[in-house]
Amino acid sequence: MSESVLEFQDVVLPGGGGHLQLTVGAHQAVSVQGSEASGVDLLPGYALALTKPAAGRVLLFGEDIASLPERAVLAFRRRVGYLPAGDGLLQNLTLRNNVALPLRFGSDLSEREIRGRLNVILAFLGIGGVADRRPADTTEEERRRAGLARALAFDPPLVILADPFDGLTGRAAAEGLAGPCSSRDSRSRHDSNRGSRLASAWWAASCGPKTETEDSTGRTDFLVGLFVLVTLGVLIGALVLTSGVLEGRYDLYMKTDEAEGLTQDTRVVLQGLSIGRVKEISPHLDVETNTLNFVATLSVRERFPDGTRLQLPAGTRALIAPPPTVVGPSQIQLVMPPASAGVTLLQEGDTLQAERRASVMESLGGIAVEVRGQLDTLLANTRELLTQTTRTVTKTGNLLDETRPRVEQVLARIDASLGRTEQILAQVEPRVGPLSDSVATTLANTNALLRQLDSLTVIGQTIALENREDLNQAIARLSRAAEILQHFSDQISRRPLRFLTGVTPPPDTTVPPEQPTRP
Amino acid sequence: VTAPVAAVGKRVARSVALVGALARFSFEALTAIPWFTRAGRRVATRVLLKQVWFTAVQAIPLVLVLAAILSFLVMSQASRELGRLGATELLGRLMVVVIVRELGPLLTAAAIASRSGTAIAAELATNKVMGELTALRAMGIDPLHYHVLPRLGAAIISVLGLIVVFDLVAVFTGLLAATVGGMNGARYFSIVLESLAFRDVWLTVAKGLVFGVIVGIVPSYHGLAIQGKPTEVPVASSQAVVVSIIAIFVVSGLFVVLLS
Repeated sequence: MSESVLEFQDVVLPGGGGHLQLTVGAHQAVSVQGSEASGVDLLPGYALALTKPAAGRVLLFGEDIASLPERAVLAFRRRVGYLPAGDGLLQNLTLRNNVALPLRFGSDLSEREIRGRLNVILAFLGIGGVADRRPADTTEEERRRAGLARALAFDPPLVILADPFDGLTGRAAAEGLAGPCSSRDSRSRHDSNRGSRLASAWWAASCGPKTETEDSTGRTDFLVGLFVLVTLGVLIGALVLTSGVLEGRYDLYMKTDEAEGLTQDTRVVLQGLSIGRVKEISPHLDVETNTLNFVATLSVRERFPDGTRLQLPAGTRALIAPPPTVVGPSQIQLVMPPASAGVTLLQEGDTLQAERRASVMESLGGIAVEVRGQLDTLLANTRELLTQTTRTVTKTGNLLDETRPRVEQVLARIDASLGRTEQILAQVEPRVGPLSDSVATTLANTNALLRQLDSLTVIGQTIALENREDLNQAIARLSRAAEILQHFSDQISRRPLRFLTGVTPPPDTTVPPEQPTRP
Repeated sequence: VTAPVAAVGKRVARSVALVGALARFSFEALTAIPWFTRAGRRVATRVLLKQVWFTAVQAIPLVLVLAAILSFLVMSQASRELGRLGATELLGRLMVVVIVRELGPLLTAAAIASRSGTAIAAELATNKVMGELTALRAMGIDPLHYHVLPRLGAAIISVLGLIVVFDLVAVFTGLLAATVGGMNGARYFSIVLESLAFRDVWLTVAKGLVFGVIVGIVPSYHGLAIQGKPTEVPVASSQAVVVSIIAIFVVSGLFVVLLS
């Protein structure tokens, strides 16, 4: 007896078909037939370990492959040509590529050998004309032929065909099995109605839908290759350029008490020219002094962009400073010492001591503090002036109130004295006439002066009484102005940026909008 | 009373199970790589090239439009606003961090997940419904080798390549926007290149790789996870896209949290 390639041992069929004992030897063809409910259609799945029988075991090439790992099972399956009950073709491949798939995946044949074998088998099964179409663009018979071609293409030691002659004419079935399976017995069904469909398929080949050609595949490959190469080139170029591999660099260290504003990639500039970046920032705890310091590694270029060697003298200082804009990242400015002869140069690994330059916000804060001090002084002076003015006005009013009765009393007395003097002068007039005239004139002038003084006192008192309200209002306004100044001072000292953005006045100092009046 | 809590718990459990299933699927796919035969590698390479054609080359116009519009909008607004503060130098950092490093990879991956993720999930689900996967296994071809790994490789190559395309177009459109805003072209390139650091480039590459894995694995998993009914195909497609986009955004957030 020949060596068995497939063996069913006590396999239970679910349709009540009993226990199946079957052995297929080399160069032997076996046909298993049964009703739809008999479970015969499950046998190919059992043979290829796609499903497991409820009982019994299946040996493929002498091995119970159902007990093997999936990867090992795949290797066994690649030795079996299989035509499933449908066509089992991949819809996104042409018939040619479907037939070629097991050859390409399971054999070490070159592409040229595969093409040669394909041409033979496709022509043999009569589907050479539609081989470059996808399954959806072909007839059922062509798909079955392609499925059969795929099962036979790599000349397997075992072929399993489920419903092998469905969709094939008797001639096609006989032709298909005549070559690769010439030594095997075959059983076929004849369907005379298929002949006309085959003829129409040949006609469709010359004017049918667009097929996939090698030219289009070549163009696709070219474009894909171009895309991959260009993008890969850009990526590698960007990585190389930004890594600094192409330009010589060396590391300097910068020690600082505070890491605020420092990040990886903080720029290092020399008089505005970018010459490097911060590569790393490491904290260092000094256990003796219990203080935390930071050491930043600065990656600095060895040369200027024009190729001139960049040499930093030993006294170079590092200033951590913000850029000259209001917002933005900090940067490290290197400041070289004044030129002097015989100065040594910084070497790789040297450490710079960092200083911190005030930021724009800090500068604004300083201005705000100064302005606030001046405003406070101004406010104090204004308040003192107000107090003094109020006091002076009050004193003036009181003085005028006190002085008026006395002045009136003095004026009355002077008036009486003048009357008496006039009488005396009338009695002595003949003797001292000229003197009397001059004394009378003087008295009259004095009288007029006194009356003017009296009216002036009255006016002063009137002014003090009538304008008291206006003075109070002026004092109140000055006081309000002082409050606004205080508010402004508070706001800018809290946020110096309000120098730029402006300060909203306190609500009770804003002028309400005028209400429209109705006529 | 407990029903809403139970519903939340069920949803969370499903999400965790999905993450686990995706991880297992990814592991299976990766462990299948050493089992490639020489001939199998040749076939898989051909499938991969075809997938790169569909996923990357055919998606270039979409990425061009997205990158150009986004970059022009962001840079024209930014140049105007930063110009008021006298901080136009920040345009370079803005372009590098916001467009090149963050939005470029994110939007590209989301666009590819929407476009090709649907196609991958629908194709694999249809293959399963049509019995093609069984046919492949019967021929001794592992569907992971023939379907999943080439698509995974193609997704990684495509997302990475399209991110490069996106970033290049964005930088050049940013030049247009900056020029319209009154900035000198040479100065624009100077500040953009000045702001581009090695870290930005490798972060972009890392994102491209991770997003590529998501775009390749998630739709493949959803496509192959169906039971085999035709009605499951559209469901698998939409789930694949939703899960892919969520995963891309979550991973993008993780990149910011862990590596910034």
